[in-house]
Amino acid sequence: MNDYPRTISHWRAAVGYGLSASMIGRRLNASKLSMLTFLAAAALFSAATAQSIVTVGQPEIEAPSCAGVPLSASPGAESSLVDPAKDLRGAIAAGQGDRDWGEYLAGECLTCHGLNAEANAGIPPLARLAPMDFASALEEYRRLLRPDLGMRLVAAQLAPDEVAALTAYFASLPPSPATP
Amino acid sequence: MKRRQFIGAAVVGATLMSAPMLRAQGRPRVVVVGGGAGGATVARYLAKDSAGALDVVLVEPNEVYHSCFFSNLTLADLRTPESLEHRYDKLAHLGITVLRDRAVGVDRARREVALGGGGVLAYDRLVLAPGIDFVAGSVAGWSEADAEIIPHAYRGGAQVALLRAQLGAMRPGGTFALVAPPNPYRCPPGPYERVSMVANLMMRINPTAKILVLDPKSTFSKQALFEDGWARHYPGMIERIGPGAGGNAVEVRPAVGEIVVAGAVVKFDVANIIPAQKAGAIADAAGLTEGGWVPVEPLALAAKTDPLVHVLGDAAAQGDMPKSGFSANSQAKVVANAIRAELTGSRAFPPRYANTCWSAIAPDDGVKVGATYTAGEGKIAAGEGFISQVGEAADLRAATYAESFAWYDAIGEDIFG
Repeated sequence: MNDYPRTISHWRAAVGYGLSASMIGRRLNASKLSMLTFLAAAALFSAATAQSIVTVGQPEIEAPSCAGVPLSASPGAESSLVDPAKDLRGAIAAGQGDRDWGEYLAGECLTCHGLNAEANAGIPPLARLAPMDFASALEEYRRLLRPDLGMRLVAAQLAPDEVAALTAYFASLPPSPATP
Repeated sequence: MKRRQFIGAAVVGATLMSAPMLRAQGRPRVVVVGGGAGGATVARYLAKDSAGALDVVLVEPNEVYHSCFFSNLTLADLRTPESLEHRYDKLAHLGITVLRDRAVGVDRARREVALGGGGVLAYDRLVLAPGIDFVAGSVAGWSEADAEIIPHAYRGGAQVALLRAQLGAMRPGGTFALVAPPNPYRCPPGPYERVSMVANLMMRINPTAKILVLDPKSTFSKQALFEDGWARHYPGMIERIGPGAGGNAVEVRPAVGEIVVAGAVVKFDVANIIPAQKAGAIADAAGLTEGGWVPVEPLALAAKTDPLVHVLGDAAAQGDMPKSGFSANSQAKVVANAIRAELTGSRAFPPRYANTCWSAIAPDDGVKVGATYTAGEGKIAAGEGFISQVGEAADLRAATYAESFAWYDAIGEDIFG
């Protein structure tokens, strides 16, 4: 979790080196691959759409993948649920997200997800998800790379700043169960 | 004795003084009527998020809440009735005053709620989440007084247990008749999930039994999914008679076990009458209903005729959201945020509404339908949605079925702590 870029400038620095995802991947251990996947997806997406964030040179970067599935989804994988205007900028800024807003938005999650409950079949509890895993999973749902219909809908309707807010909220929760 | 100590002593089973409980100085009071999926969620989120800034009182006559959602699964022994029980102790520990009493009247001019036990509660904001009542006379020949013989089983707990017992004792090859309700009603797929669960039970214990569905609606929720599932799992067992063939105008004869359909007399062994529905009685007593339900504005479910009274869940005529525990829970968080913002100055966020309804067709064969909703012009309006498909792979159906159990655990925690 400490590896997660806390500010946009950190993220810029990470992308600005111009390293490809595979180059970074060779240098770091497997436990950091999910972060790299996320960063790579973020870079790819932002390079195309997020002028307000990417002011450094356009990074040359290979098509990223999540669990072996290319993130550059084929046109056939798109649907009306995907809004190209919604990108990863907000998620990238996790740590700067609006925690209180995230707490409110989390109400929608907690109808189905436990917070501190032990993992049960089908729906994971949220308090133990690393922020980056959380944002990456949402992005994968948004790109229809994960199958669940309900989460595809949820993810498609979360704007980047909302993802950032949720990420900030869940990151703020204590790591151990703290049910009153 | 300090006031808060008095309130604390009043938790569960309290008797109230007959004079009105005055609003606490400097601490606005929110009275929540009804401790189901909507009311308990509102109370919990208000108390949890306001951290003592609000005096939250939950008025609920029952010590134990038996969820109506998932109760169909007890008919096929896929859940125990005990696993659907919820208590209010965790809400009380959050600082909510849980009054075991029934709200019997609302004086909106004085902002007071009258309780069946004789007490009066003053409020700054009132939340009504009374669920449903039944429309008298909606099924000819049957009244709620007959429910001990022919259950409605449309509130959780004893009525569902009665139906399960009757089904278990039905003679071999007997007929189970279910009268479905007209729109709008609680849990749109509920009657058809019930048919599925009864069929599942019968396949095990009474495989020559017949199931007759009498339906005033020409179409129903998840119809293609249910009809496909019935053909696959329970071939030949279920017959549905829609409005074109008399399903809309049945007459029940409880004493002799007969239903008259389009002039023909049908004998039944066990029956389940799910009548037409309306908002719980307190909504009418408060003078807020129109056509049986309470019209509410879409931003925070305030009654259109009284901005100090929020009505949510099944009782509300809010627009496009189905009446479900999930919807009530979703609406409750919007209401809690809005009330807290008004009374404490905390931040108000735009409403977000969502619903998903899972239904069990058979063990490991689950389906779901869901959508998000927005505050539209004068009503809550449907946005994007999804629904399970006929012909899905068995492992997806099994995953959906398992997912519904996980959802039940999560929403129970979200409602009751």
